[in-house]
Amino acid sequence: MASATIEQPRRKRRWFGGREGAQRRFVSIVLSPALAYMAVFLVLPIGWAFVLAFFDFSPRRTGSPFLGLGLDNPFVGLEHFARMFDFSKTAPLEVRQFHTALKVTLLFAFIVVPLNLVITLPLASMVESVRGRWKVLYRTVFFLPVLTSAVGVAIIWGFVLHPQRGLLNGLISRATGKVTAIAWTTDPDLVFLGVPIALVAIIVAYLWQDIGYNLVIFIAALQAIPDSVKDAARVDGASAWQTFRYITLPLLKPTILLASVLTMISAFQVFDLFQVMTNGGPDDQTRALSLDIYESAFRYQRMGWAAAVSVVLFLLVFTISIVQSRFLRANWEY
Amino acid sequence: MATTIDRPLERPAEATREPRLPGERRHVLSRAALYALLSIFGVIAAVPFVWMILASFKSGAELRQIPPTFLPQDATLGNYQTILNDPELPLTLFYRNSAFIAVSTVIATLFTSSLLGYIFAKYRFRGRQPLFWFVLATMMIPAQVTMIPGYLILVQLGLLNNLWGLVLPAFVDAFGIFLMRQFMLSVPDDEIWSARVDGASEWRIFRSVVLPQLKPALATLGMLTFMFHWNAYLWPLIVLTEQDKRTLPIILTWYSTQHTAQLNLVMAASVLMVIPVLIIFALSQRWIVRGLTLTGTK
Amino acid sequence: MTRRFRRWQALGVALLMLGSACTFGADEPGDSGGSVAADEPVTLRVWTHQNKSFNQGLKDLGAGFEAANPNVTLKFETFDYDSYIQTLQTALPAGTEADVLQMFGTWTCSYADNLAPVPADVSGLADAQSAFFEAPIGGYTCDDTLYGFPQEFNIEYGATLVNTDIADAAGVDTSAGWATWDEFMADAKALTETQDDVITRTGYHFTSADALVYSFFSLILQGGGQFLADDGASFTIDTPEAREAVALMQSMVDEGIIDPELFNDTANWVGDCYFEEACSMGLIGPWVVPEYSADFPEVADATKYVALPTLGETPDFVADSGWGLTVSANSPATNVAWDFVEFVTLDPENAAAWNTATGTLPALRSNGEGATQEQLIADYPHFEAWFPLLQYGQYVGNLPDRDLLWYEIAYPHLLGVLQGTESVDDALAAMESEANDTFR
Repeated sequence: MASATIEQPRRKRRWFGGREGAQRRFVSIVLSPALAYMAVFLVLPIGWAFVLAFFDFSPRRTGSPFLGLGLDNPFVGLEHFARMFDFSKTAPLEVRQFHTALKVTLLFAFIVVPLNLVITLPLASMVESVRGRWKVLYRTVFFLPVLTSAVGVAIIWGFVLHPQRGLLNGLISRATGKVTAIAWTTDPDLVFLGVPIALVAIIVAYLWQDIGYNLVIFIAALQAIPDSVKDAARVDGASAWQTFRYITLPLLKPTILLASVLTMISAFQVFDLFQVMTNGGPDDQTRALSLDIYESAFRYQRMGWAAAVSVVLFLLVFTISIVQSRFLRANWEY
Repeated sequence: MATTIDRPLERPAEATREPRLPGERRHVLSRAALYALLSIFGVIAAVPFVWMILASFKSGAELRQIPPTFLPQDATLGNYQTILNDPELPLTLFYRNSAFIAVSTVIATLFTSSLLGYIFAKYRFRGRQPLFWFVLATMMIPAQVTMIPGYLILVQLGLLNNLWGLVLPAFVDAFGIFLMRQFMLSVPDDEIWSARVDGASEWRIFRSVVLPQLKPALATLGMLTFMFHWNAYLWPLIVLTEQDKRTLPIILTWYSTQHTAQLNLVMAASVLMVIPVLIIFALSQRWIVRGLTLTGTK
Repeated sequence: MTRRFRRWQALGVALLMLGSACTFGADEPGDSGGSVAADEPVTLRVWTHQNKSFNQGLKDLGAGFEAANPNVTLKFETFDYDSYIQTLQTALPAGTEADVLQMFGTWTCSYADNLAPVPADVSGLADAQSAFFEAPIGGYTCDDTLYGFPQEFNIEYGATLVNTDIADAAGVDTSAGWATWDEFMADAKALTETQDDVITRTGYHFTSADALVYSFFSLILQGGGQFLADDGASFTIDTPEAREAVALMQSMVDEGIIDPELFNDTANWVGDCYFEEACSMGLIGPWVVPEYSADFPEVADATKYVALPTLGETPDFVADSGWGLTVSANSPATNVAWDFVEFVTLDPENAAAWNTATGTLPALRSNGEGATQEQLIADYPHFEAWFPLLQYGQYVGNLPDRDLLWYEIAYPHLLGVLQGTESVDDALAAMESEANDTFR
């Protein structure tokens, strides 16, 4: 780790030995309130979430004075987790909705991440190879959606995809000369290769918003590649594609891994688009885990169950992070 | 503008280099194709935005035409007049709520992140590495996990429907600490040590030696924090349920569900909500882009 | 790090954890409410959901109340519909709610533990039952105890919106109403417009969430069936009457009157659809007209409600109580709060003034007849078809979670059947078991 380089050499520490007390005081004055704060707003919530998952807790009911647990909010042990494995058709509604949500979230994440990379990488190298002012223009155009609130994005796309007044149906109508009213986000029968079109709509909106982000990261990584390397390849007669394939891509590998993991983690947590664009519909086809947790916890006040689902989400994200961690570790100091 | 953004890695002008390379004509052709392709992508990226802005100038009747029009036939400012005069939509109040949360969070985050980033980068104490890893690890925890207990904590603190309920849990930001520490690593230790030799207190060193060198980092973090809280949706949705306390994104969603039949008004409201972000971006785009570039994380 | 430093930190952490833990239980509910002396200054907090005309109407009445009671100040706090439910659900057990709570009748009983029963000197149960229509007061009655009073009669089923301009243009005369469903469907079909096999204007929109669920339960009643057991503790949904109801709705889809994929709760919601003239007729309560009349004056002028045919003898329908006012048991000034609620809901003149301001149907029987009825019809001509129906309303019953049943259970399954993604057998069986799960 880089820390080794910033430490003062040992002999210096002895020189300023008299100052050590002051430094120590400084560190503890800063760190103690910070740690206490983190204990309350970071550690406590995480621990509490895990505890809640073992209780049938609802803020509607009266519990014991200790965190409201017990009494009408009884301890149920692993029951929530056991119920998650009830795959029968007669499983309770919330269990089936959880299964749907898990499927939707996995589908979403595993479509969004590769697509994102497939689009951003070539786009980044294209933008990178363009001159000054144009580069800024293109980058701004692609980056603007990143700054727009997801709510705004959802509303814009909801309008583009509106069955009667949307741009998309308008274009199709004009191209075919026939009135077209496809309910992109509400027709449960519209499915493409097993993926509901409503989910595709959210994926498109999400990609539209999120592409600028990885784009900037890749542009930075591309700029870090010394020109001499690429020039050498070109002088040797390599085509642009060969240069990209055999020189640029391998050098970008660490960045690609980092970007894919971060994109994956955020894809698991997308909420705004799902809630505002489709609110889970049609027919729960876009009920993502984040939406499922929100609805269970805050609309129907089943917080114990929702906490159990959130623990599953945490484990998913955690597992994926761990799987990639050896790649990640090398890149934290980026 | 271009030069500032690309400053650290700016390459020599390509023109000086290109003529030496073989296959120049093919090169010109492929460059034309490149610009064309990028422009097509750029148009695709820009169209939804443009569509929204154009729609905000159309009348409700025009927007209901089948098939829809692209350019406004009869541009009007009526939509903006309507929403600015809607007593149910006191926009100044919602702008104020959003701004209060975003600005206080920015101030708090900048203070705590620079201080803690400094401690993690420049001091040696036992448990530093595990603590830093812990801070990093908290960035991995999905918001959905902490949201339920976080809500219950705010209930206990009596901070529901209180703008401080949004500011308080955001006082310490793991990403901010991480970002500041990364910047801090490049601040030379010598200056800190020579200040110590001169007898400056630790606080003074932080204030007058370290902070001034962090200006670009502070600007970056400030902008990112502002954007994040200005656009935040899920947490404010949970914490602020009273109409008068709500922030712009929530109000925009509410307004759009109330007026699904008047998309012209919804589009005008969306434009009004995006404008401050666009202004801030225009003022600060070099910092934001560089900040993202330097950290490579969200 | 020195040992002292570590201990100090640990202490800080421990203190903070302790501090936050100690506050739990501090706000235990059940600190029973109190009353205040006659002229003591009182600030009453009033919680309402966001609705322009409702809140303006209430504030106007509130101004009159404040004028009559100079020691009282009213403070209104509003929430949008979704977050209002969420807020009530958590605020009441925590004891942080306002003094006066606007309540949708059907919700009342699930909060009864934390609400103040109506004091005997305000009104007895029998008096209230004769003063109000059955459906609206039903929502405020839990185990024969009264917890508040309705301000309006919430009605969603019984008559349909008809755009008379479109009907005239199509040569359809609806003024005589319809004796049978076949007659109705013939007119609805005539009012449907199709272009390139796409329904561009539906003849009768009944497939948004409320419309579909109210139709379903009302048609069951008309067919002589029931869906909630008498003790209110279980649902029976898979019945011949339910199948008949579904079959009727299915036949309208098969006739090509409506496409439930293009017209439902999220795409072309009935209120929007009707006023944008994409629906010739639409099923939604009369509250929708004032909401849209300012923005769509021409459609509003052409709007009329016409009573729907019935499957049985009488036009029975399921009604969902209505918005009204309750008082928190934790309020330190329950007596003043009840004075205000009484002023707003029980005084026929004030109640009528609120109905007039908001364009809602009266909950008080005395306002549903005679001069007040005439006045309301004069102000809101579209009410005409509704007044004769009010007496047939049956309260839906005190459900464990009305919204869950409506929007997560009944609506998705019914829509699934009409969209052809679910069989009638599966849908009814699933609805029944999921509905009974809500008692858990």
